[in-house]
Amino acid sequence: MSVVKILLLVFVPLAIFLALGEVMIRVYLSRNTFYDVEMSRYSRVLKLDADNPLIGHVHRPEGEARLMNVSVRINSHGFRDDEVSLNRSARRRIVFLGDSLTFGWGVEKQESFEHLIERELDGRSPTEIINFGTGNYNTVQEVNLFLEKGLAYHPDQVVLFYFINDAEVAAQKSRVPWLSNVRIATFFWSRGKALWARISPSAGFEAYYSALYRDDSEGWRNAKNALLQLRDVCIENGIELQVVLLPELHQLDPYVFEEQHALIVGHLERHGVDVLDLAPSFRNVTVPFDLWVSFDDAHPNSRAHRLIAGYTVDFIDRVRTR
Amino acid sequence: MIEFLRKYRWYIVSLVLLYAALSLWLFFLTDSPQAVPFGYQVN
Repeated sequence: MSVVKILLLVFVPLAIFLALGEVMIRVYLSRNTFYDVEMSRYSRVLKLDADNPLIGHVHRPEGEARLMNVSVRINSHGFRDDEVSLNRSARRRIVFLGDSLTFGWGVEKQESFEHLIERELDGRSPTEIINFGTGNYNTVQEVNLFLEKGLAYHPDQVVLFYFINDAEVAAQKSRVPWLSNVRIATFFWSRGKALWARISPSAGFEAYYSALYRDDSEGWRNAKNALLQLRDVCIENGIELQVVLLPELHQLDPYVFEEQHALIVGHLERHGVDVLDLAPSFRNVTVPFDLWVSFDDAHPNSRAHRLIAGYTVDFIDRVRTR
Repeated sequence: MIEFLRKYRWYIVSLVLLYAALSLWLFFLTDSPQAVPFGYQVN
């Protein structure tokens, strides 16, 4: 048998399978969402490379997409927010920094904690919040986005919403970005990771997130330095800074990342930063899964956003009233 | 090529079905609540 014939016998069935599989997955996705596919679409449709490597990526101004069955609209400044002028009005101005949770991944804008907190604070005293939340950011990226764009808004207050994975080092860009258009590739990548997590406990979320906070972790060291940089910039510019720790929604009682949250709170308190850890407030949630966006996506859903807003609003407002 | 496909059609069909079965096995085996860290693609 010739080499050509052997290659054909290997690759022809594979090509037929991949083509049929791609069609079947696209049919399946016309009625269902799949977290990793939605994240790939988010990346392709709404993200652009940033000029600043410390920021990595930004939102495409005026981009629009439907992701996880909710509509997402980016304003002309690159934020998931209403149009906002750089010029101040008489309203108190607060900037929210954060990652996909602050962005409101998986919930409509009016269901996001950013919107709920703005509505509540504005009812108490004229207030506007500008949402800088960007999916897949770590703390370094959040702080650098604020340095590059946020100071121009002259906020009275900055609130950084910290999540357990914000101590990751920034992910490398894919060398084969076109693969994100191939649904069957995303399927095997995603389900392969899930299978590996079953075989190797170190690939699961608990071991992975815990390891981010080891003493020798580069990402945690960078995050700590970025938080101090943000504190210094806020002091120089007369801006009030607060940090809110958002809970990871797999296991809330006992909270699985209590030790890591203690490290983050300790670091902030030692350096005089006002911090609120929301994990203890979520201990009464008996079924964490009820707070997830979907089966394969542990981002907070609309109910979780309401809880976050409710537990946070007085903490943010106390800056105004003290 | 047509001759090749005709000659080996049952071999090709069997292998495609095997791949499909393995994919379905992977789909159902891992169809459980998210247990891995948030994964994403930067750009």
